[in-house]
Amino acid sequence: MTIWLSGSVFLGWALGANDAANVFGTAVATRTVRFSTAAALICVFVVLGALLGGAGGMRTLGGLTDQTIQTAFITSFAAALTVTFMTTLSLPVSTSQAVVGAIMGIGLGVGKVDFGGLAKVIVCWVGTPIGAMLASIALYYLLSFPFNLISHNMFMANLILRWGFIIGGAWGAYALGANNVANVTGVFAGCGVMSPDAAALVGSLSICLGVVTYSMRVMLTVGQRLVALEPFTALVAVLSEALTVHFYAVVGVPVSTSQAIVGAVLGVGLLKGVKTVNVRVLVRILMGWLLTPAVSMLISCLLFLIFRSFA
Amino acid sequence: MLNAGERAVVPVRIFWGKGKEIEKRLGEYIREMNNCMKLFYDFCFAYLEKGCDEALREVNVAVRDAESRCDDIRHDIEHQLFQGALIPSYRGDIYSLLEAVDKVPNKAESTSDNISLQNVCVPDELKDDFRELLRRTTDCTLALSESLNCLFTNIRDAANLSKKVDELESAVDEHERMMIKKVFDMDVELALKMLLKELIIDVASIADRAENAANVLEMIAVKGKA
Repeated sequence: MTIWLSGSVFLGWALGANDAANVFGTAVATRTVRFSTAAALICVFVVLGALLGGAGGMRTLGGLTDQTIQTAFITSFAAALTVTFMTTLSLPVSTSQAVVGAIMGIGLGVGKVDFGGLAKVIVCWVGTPIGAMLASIALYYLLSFPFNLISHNMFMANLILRWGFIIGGAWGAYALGANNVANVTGVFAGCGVMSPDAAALVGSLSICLGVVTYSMRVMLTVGQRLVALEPFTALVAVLSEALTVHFYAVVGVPVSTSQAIVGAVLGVGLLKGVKTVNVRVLVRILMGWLLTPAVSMLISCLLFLIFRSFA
Repeated sequence: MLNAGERAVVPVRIFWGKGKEIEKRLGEYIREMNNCMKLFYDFCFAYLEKGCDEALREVNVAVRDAESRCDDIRHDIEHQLFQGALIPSYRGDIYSLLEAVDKVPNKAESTSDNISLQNVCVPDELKDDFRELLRRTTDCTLALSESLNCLFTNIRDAANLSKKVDELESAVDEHERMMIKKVFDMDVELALKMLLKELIIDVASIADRAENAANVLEMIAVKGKA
């Protein structure tokens, strides 16, 4: 069982290392929150999110095709390979899209794909940056009035923003756990070798491993991008990302937190009349959408065919 | 091991972060700057009254000490800012503001040093003009101090008060020009004229520096709104 789960644990590690930056990157990069505090908060809320809200995503991914423990391993291994391959080439990558691509590869191999479920997933992928953009515009209007009313001096504003980043980061971590844990161990819950709760626990703990061991450097890099924004605008972006990812966790479709944060930053940029995201970033996201599932599907399909010829 | 009192403070510190400490130290800085400026003006008025004697040199030392305390507080605040107190945008704002404001007591110290060392004899017909220049400069630095206090109350009020500093600085400039013209119309040696001109410019430049600091504060007030 441990060997079958190794691909998932590796995938969870990569997810934790990369995606923690989207929820706490700003606070850590600006030294508003210490990395150790941020890592502890992320771990607690990722596990909580996975246990309390991770079932929906697991049902969706589990229902896309029929899985056995062997194909579940191939799925997570192919997704992990894709994430590593794309990261090595500095190409944008989404774990959610890698996993769904890998499931599709297995689906093609066994000749069974739930196209209805797949359509729902694809609509959610497109809806992630757009939803985050709309959420950030709405939240900006909603929060700027009370913020201006209460934060009449710099120290009060500092207090509100500091706690805003901490609460927003914790919410983002909860949403990350609830939404993305299905990517890590959803296929194992889907094939019935693990209970959804056990899958959520193993998946979230492997995400935590990535957060604790490797996320600091990514946080500092990604966080700096948001630091260029005004503090209130950066907070709105973080909250919008959390809201969007949480929404899709409730819908039950794993989405990319990176694409959510880019959409949110684009939204507040539009409001402030500032070009926050350039065309190159948008082209890279589009490439990520197309390339990640395609590469992952190809790898998993090939691995499945090799496995079947030997089995 | 923390005692009971220290333990009680820990949750408050966690809630406020280092922001509360910066707020406290900034208040101390403004009070010390006011003290330094008061000592400087007392020194100048006393100098015009009776010239530079031993008692006045002690006031000069007090000005230097007050300026030195301002520097200590400023360094402490900057040290805390570099350690991550406040969010980055506010960190930069406070740093720029402190750098600009600190030029006011710095200039007061160097001017009082010059007066004490050079002991320039101010002609009687110029003394009232000097007192007026000092009064106008005092008004300007008091207005700066008032606008700095908006950091703790409502930063948006600082914009209006900064405009007041601008107006008062213009009044100082006007008086400075009039005085320099008057000095060069006087029948005194050229060396004394040059020393008097330098003294007038030194005192008036305190108001210039107050205006620069008020402008930095105004920028902070304008960008403070979400």
